[in-house]
Amino acid sequence: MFVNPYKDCFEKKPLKCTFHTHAGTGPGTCGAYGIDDVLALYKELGFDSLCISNHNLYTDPAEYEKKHGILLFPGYEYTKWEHMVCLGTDKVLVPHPETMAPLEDPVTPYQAAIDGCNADGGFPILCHPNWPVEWALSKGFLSSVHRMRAIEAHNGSCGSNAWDHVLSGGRLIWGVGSDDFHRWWNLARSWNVVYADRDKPSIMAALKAGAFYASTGLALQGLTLDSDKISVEVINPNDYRDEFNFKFFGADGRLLKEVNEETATYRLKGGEKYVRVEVMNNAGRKLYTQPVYDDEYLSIEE
Amino acid sequence: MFINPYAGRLDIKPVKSNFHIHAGTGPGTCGAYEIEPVIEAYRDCGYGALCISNHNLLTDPAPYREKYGIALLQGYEYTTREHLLCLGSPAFTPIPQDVIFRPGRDGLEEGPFGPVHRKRNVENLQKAIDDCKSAGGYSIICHPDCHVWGVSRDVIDAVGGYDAIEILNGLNTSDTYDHILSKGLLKWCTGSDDFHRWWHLGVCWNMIYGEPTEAGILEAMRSGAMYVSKGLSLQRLELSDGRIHVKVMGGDGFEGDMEYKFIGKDGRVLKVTNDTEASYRIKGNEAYVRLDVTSPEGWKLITQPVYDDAFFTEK
Repeated sequence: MFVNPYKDCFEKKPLKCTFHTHAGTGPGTCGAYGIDDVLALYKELGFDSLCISNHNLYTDPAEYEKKHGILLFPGYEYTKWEHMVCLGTDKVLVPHPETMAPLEDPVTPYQAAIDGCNADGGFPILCHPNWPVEWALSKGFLSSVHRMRAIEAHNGSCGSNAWDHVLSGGRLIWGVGSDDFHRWWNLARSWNVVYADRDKPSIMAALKAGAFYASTGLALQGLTLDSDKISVEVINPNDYRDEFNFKFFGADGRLLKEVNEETATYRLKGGEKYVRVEVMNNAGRKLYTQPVYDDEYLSIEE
Repeated sequence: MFINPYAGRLDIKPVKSNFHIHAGTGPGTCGAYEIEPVIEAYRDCGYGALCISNHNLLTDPAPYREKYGIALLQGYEYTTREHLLCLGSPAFTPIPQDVIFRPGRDGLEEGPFGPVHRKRNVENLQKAIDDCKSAGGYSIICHPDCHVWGVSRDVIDAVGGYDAIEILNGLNTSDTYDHILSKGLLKWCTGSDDFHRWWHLGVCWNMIYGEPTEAGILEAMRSGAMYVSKGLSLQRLELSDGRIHVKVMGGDGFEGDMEYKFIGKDGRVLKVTNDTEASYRIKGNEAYVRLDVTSPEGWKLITQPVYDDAFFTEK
C-alpha cells in the first residue's frame, strides 16, 4: 500500500530547521564566527531549530538555547572522508577525532556512529554524498552502511542520485536540506520545513516520520495521496506569481513525469516502489519532498 | 549579422562582482553592518569588483580601494518608487519633494506578477539615467516587474538610455528582459545580491571579462562581456559556422549534466538540451539568442544575448 508521509501534516504550523552548522572559534571548532553571532542571525531569519554540528566535536547547546530562544539539538558531524551529522546525541563516536584523515576501513566506525546515534534516540544524516565529486560516497559504501535515517538531498550539490540508490534498495531514508554553514555566504541556502510542535521531542518524531521537506526557497502548500493520485501544490513564499517545474522521480532515479505548471499531479501506475517530487522555479529555488512509498517494498531499517 | 559579445574575451580571467550592496551604519545609509566588514566578507568570497550602492547616498570608494585592493565603483541606488543603480560616476540626481515615495500611503495596484505600488515617476527616473550617462556612468534598472518594489513595465517602456536590468535579484525576471530585447533595445542583464544582511551575500553575481579597475569593469559591462551566475561558470560561448557552442560547469569545476535553454525573441524557447554542453544552429530570424542554464540543484547561469546587429535600434 502506498503511504504518504505528509498525511495530517498541513494543519500544523511548519517549523524552519537546519541541522548542519559549523560555528565557534575555539580550539577544535571549524567555524569562522562565534556561536552567538551565528545563532542570532538564524534566529532573525525565523529559524526555530538548529544543531551546532562541528567536526568530531560536541557542542553543549544548553546555554545558547536559553540565550537565543531557539531549539538546539545536541550533535556533531562525524568527519573522516565520509561525513555524517549525528543529530540528537552528545556522544562523539569517531576513532581519532583529532584528525579527519581517511580510514582504511571506513564502514565499521561509521556504522558504530550510526548505531550510537540511533541508540541515543537520535537521527543520523549522511552528508553531501556528491562532494567533492559525484558519487564521492560510492554505491558500495551506501549499500554497506545500515540504519541511517536520512541523507542530504541538497548541500551545495544535489544528493538525489545517492538518495535514489538507497531508496531503490528498499531502505526508506528521508531527504534533508543543509547549509553546511561555515561562512556568511552559506547562511540559509537550504533548510528543512518540519511539521511538528515547537519542542525537540516533537521535531525529532516528525523527522523520523518523514513529516518534513527540504527547501532552497519554495514552500509546500499540500501533498496529498487520493487513491492513486498524488497532488502537489507549491508557492513562492514572497507572493510572487510563479510557475514551477515539477519532476516526479521513481525507483533508480527514473524521471516518471515532468510538468511546468502552478500545481501538479501524478497518477500511480502500480509498481513504482516510491515517488518523490523535486520542484524548481526559474530562479533555481527548489523543494524536495519525501517519497510517497509502497510499504510492501520500502521500510525504515531496524 | 549575429554578434557574440563574448568573442575574444573568454581568455581573460573574469572578475566576480556585485554592484548592489547596502552597507554602512552612518546617517542616511540603509545598511545593517559597517562598510569594511562587508567588503572584507565579499573579498573573502572571491569578489574582485563591488559597489556600495546605498539608497540616494553616494559613497566615496577611494579609502576602501586602497585598503582592500579590489575594484570599487563609485555609485548609489537612486530610490523613489523606482530603483536604479547608478555606477561608475559621481553623478547624483536629487529627488524632488513630489517624487518622494511614501510606501503604504501611495497605494497598490495589480501588476503582472502580483501587487505593485501605484505611483510612477518616469521623468525623474529618466533624469537619473541621463545624469549618470553624461557623467560617464552605467545605469541598471533594479528588480524590474518583481514584486511591490519592482520597476513597472510601463515605466521601463517609457524610459531610455539605461544600460542594463537586473535579471536575477531573488527572482528571475526573464519575461521583462525578453520584452525589452524584443522591442529592439539592446540592454544587458545583471545579477545582484541586493545585500542588506549577511544571508544576502553571494546569492548571485556577475562574472566580468575586464580589467579589475573601475574603468576596465565599465568597459567590459558596456560591451556585454559578462554573465550572470548563481553558482555556475562559463567555460565556452562561441559563435562559429552559424552555430552557438556553449559549455558551463559547476563553480567548483564540477562537470555534469545541466539544462541549457536557448531563448529567442519574445522569450520563445528555441531549444533545450540536457547535457554537459550544448549548441544551437542560428536560423537567421531569431533577433537574439540567449542562454539560461540550470544545474539539477538549482545553480544558474544567464548569458547576454548573441544578437542580430540589424534588429537592434538602440544599442
